[in-house]
Amino acid sequence: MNIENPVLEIKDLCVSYSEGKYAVKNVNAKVEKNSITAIMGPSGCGKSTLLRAINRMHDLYPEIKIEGRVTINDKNLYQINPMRVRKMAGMVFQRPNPFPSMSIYDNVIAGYILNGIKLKKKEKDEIVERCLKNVSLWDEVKDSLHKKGIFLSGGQQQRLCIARSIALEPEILLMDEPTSALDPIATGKIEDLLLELKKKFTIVIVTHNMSQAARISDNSMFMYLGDLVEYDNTKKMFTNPSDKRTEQYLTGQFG
Amino acid sequence: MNAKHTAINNIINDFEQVSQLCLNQVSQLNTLVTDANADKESIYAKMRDNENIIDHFEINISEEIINTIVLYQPLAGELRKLISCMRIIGFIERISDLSINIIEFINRIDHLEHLLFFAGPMEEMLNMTYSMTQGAISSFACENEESARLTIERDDEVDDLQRMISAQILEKKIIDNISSNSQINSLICINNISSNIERIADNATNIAEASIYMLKGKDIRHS
Amino acid sequence: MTTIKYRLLKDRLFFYIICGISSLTLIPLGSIIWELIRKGIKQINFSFFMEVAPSTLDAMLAKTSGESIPGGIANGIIGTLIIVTMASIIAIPIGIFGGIQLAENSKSKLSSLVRFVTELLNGIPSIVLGMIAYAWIVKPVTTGYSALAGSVALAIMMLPLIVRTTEESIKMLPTSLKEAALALGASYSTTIIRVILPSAMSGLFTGILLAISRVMGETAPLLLTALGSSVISLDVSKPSSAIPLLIWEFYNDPYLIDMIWSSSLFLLMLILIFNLIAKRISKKWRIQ
Repeated sequence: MNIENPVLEIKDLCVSYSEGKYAVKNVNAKVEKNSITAIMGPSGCGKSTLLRAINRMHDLYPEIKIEGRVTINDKNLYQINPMRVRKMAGMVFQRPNPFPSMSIYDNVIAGYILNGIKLKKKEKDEIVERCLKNVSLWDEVKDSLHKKGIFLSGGQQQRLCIARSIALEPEILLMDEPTSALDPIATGKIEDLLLELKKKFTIVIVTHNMSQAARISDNSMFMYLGDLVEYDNTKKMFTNPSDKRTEQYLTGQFG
Repeated sequence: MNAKHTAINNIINDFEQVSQLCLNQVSQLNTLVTDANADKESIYAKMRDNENIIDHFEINISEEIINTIVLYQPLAGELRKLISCMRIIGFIERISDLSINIIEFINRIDHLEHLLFFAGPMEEMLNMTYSMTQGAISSFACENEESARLTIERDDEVDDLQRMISAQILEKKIIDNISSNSQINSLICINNISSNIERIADNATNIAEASIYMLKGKDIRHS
Repeated sequence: MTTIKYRLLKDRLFFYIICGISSLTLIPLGSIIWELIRKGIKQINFSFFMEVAPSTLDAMLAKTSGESIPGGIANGIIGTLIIVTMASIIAIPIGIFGGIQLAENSKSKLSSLVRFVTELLNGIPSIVLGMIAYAWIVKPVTTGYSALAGSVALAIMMLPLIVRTTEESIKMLPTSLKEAALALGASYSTTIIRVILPSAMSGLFTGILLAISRVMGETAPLLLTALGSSVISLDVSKPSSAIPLLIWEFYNDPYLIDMIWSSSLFLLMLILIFNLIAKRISKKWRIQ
């Protein structure tokens, strides 16, 4: 598969939890700018591990070893400060997690608050309004910006978390099963949102829901037991996969 | 074995039944065209009954395929199998239709001696067509690419035979100086019969192409 | 009588027995409160809060002339306030950081040690803690009984409770909260201070209030450290009064003994109110 405009490049990436046991083996992939790339595979195949290796979330656990290279716009992420990396690659998690001690307003600019970046009130207002409009939440919350974020519904909370991530204007948005905990209507709204957001950001989404991958992704990766088995255009992979294991997964021969 | 696999298996079972009926239609044609003493009436009745059954199958199987796609969202090989099956059912129904057309034409022939005159090439054409149809259907049912390729290659041969029969009919009219309306009518019917057989072969080729789509994921129609 | 009727009757009897015996537990608290109110409420007036404890002489004179005993427990109230506040200032930061350590690095050797020591501290008798504060503060630091020594003893008593509630409140938070903060590029310390602690605030606050209400009534450690005083003293290096100490002094004095009821009632009400506030706050914040 030919990627013309790669923004994220993964080369020979290996992640191991203990000596000799690899959760991710030799992954090589380039991710196209302004696309949605889905990572699928059965449980335990390494897809979340791969995602978290991109924004160096594994740094918290000294026993985890990473080999290989991950670059965004040719900058090696493992050679710069991890906090800088996490501003280049934002992450949205499975369970919506707005900060309970902060208001909706503060949640959106939490990235700036937590990094000690001081902004004028006008700048803050502008960022909050822009990000909430980008996630289609502005109209619903503009009159209660100073209420706590946890009073929103699950789908709204997750959109708030997405707003929080995009406020820092990252290059890449990493999403770890962002709609697993939501009902189908909220899921649909977020999928529509992602299709809009991909115009400005590059999105990598881990999902165990094949229909979701089919609906929204441009390219898909299939992982199995730590290997990147197949990485191709979604339409092609879902109608005519090249690898037998992908075929077996797509036809439900192993979950 | 989950609900999706059960649904797909049921569709394939129905497909096998209807494809067998279709092959029966074509093989009965052989008897009609070549055997002068055949009990035409009972064969016609049987073929018309089969045609009804095949029509019903077409509708039911199509509906089942749509339901399966809606409910279970099959992907990759399974999706291609169902799409090909849908196309093939249409061709099977058309083959049966063409067979009924052929018996209508046979009925309108008053001068059966002309029909018997052309029995040789007709039988050859029918045999070829039958084996093409059978090969195409089995390439789908048994997932065999070779049978499909063979069927596609033989299409040209059947075309040639049909052209030859047409030429021979024209020749016969001129040589035997046939001028009566009923005789000319019979010759025209014989021509129509052979072109209908050629169209059955075409449909068999279409079945083979659909089968290749299922097996390889490549759409080779019109190439 | 049919077996069904017999079984229904047995069930009813059992139910009444349970209700009856469990209501026995209400008797001690009920009778305590009743007794205290009965005997103590008449003593509680404005001067109760404003004036210092009367001396034996004043009390004797009042008794012989049939008047009510003058004075109040102002020195005790101020003393308790100062000692408990100082104890909180010492115990809260140590307790919270201890709790953070236990919650964040649950499995490390340091954490096991801290956990072990905290549990031990919980079991040490309060009078022993008083002795330790005597040895550490009374002798070397303040060369004499002092409010500071009292606060140290009380702080050690508050520590295990604060550590444990902090640890549990933090552990109850979902891990994705910490991950979300880190994923925004925050440093570890910022994450703890600006996200984890504020989010666990209700649990923390409840723990602190409960610890305070626990030590407010402690007497034994104060006997060996603060000693007691007849005046309102704002100098923490000098001896200080406290409400429980006053109760003890009143009890030992034949002329002042009537004052024990009002002071006990006041102390009890204070502790009860703190407990109720703690519960209300924890319920209000728990809605999240």
